[in-house]
Amino acid sequence: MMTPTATALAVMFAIVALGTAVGFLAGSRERMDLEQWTVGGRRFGAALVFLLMAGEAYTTFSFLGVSGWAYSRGGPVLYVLAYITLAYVTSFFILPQLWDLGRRHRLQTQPDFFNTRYRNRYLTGFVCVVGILAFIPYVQLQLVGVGIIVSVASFGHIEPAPAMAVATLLIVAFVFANGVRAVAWVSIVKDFLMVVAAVAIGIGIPLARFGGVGAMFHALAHTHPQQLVMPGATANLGHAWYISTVLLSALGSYMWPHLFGTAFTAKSADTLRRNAVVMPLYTLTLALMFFAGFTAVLTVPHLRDGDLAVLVVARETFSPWFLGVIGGAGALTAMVPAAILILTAATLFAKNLYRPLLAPAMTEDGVARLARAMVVVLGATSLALAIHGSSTIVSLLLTAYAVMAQCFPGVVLGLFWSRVTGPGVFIGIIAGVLTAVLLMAAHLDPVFGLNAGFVGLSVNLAVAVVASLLFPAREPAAEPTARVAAAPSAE
Amino acid sequence: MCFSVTLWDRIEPMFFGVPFNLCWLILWIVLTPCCMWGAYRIETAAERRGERG
Repeated sequence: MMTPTATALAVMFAIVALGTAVGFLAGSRERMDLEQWTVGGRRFGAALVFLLMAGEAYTTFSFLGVSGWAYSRGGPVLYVLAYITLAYVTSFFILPQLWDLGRRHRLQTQPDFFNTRYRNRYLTGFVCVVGILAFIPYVQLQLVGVGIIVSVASFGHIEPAPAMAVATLLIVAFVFANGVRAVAWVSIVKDFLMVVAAVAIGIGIPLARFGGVGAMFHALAHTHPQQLVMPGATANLGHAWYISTVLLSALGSYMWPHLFGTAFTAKSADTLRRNAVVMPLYTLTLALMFFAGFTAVLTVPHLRDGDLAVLVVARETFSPWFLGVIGGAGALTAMVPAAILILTAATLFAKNLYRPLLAPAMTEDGVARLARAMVVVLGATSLALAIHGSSTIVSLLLTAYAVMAQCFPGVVLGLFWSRVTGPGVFIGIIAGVLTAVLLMAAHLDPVFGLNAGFVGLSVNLAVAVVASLLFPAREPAAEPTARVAAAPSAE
Repeated sequence: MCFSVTLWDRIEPMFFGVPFNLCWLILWIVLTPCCMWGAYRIETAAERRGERG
C-alpha cells in the first residue's frame, strides 16, 4: 500500500511526464527553422490557437493567485472575470489586423511590428528591452508556483527548489526541441486538466464542506458579508479602482509579447476572430476558482500566505490520488506559460536586440541557433532568481503589467490611424512608463482610487496623439492601416 | 459596461446561492460570446461584400 504522499507524487509526476512527452512528440516533419520554431509556420487551426491562447493566458496566477485574492482580499478579485472577458473583445478587433500585417511582412515578434510600422530603431529597441525585463518576474513567478504546488501536494516532503529545477529542465528541453508547436501541444493536456481541476475545486470542495456552493455562500454572507463585495478585505480597492484596472488590463493584456506573437501562429485572420468569439467561455473556470478561495475563507482561516489557500483546502478535502491530479494540473499550468515566455524572450533577444545591434550580417539560421541557446540561458537565470527570489516578485509583476500595457497606443494607433508617428509613440510610451513606475515606486497606487497603470496609459495616449499631430511625419506613413496595400518590407 | 459596477456590486439578491455581483459577471461571460458572434457575422458579411465590390 502506498503512502498518501507517494500516491499524490506518483500521479503528479505521471501527469507532468505525459505533458512533457506530448511536447517532445509535437515536432513536425518540417525543418525547425526560425519561422517554424517561433510561429509554427503560421499554420495553426482554430483548435490549436484556442489551446495555445488558453495555455498562455491561464497561468499559475489563475490557479493559485485568483483563489488567493478571493481568500485574502475578497470582492476586488471580481476584476479578473471582467477584464479577461473584455480582453478577448479587444483581441477580436486587433489580432486579425495584426495577423494580416504579420503575414505580409513575415512578422514574428512584437518588436518586428514596431520596426515595420514606425521604422524607428530606438523605439523598437526600447519595446524589446521592456518586454524582456517584464518577462523575468513573470517566468520567475511561474517557477515559484511550481515549487509551491509540488511542495504542498507532496505534504512538504519535497522542497520547492528541486521541484523548480526539474520543471525548468523539462521546459527548456521541449522548447529547445520543438518551439511553439511543443507549447501548443502541451497546452492540450494542461487546458483539459485545468477544467477538471477547476470543476473539482470549485464545485467539489464547497459540496464536501458545506453541501453545495449556495450553502457555502450563504454561510459566508452571514459571517463575512464584507468579503463578498468591494473593497473586500482591502482599504482602497473600490469601484474606481475596479473600473480603471479592468480597462487597463482588458486593453493591455494582448500587449504582452507572447500573446501578441500567438496571433502570428494562426493560419488565417478568420481563425483569430472565431477564437475571440469562443474564448470568453473558458473564463468560467476562473469563476470556479473564486468559489474555492471563498470556501477557504471559512474552512482554513488565518493562513500566512493566501496563495496556499486552495491547495491546503484541496489537500484536506480530496483523497491523495486526486490531490496528485490537481497538483499535476497546477504544475503544467505554470510550465506552459513559463515555456512560451522563455521562447518569446529568447526570440526577442536574438532577433530584435542582438542581431540589429551587434551582428547585422547574421543569417536567419544563425538567429534561430542563438535563440535556442538563449532558451537555456534564460531558463537557468529564471531558476536561479526563483530559488533566491524574494517576496517582491508579485509587486514586480504588477509593475510589469502596468508597463507592458503602455504599448497599447503604439499598436492600436499604428494599426488604425495613419497620422501617428514613431517619435510620438515613443514619447508617449516613455511618459506612460514613467508615470506608472513612479506612482508605484512612491506607493501611490491606487492614486485617487485609480490604478496607476491606467493613469500612465491615459497620459501615454494623450502625449502620443498630441506629439504626432504637432510633429507630423516628413513623409507619409509607410503603412497607414493594416488593410491598405503593403509597403516594402523593412527587413 | 464596467462603469455600472456600483449598481451591481452587492450580495443580495442571490441566485442559486451565488452572490449577485458574481452572478452578474458570470452572466456576462456567457453573453459576451453571443454578442461577439453577432459582431463576427457583421464583420464577415462586410468582408464578403468588400470582396465582391
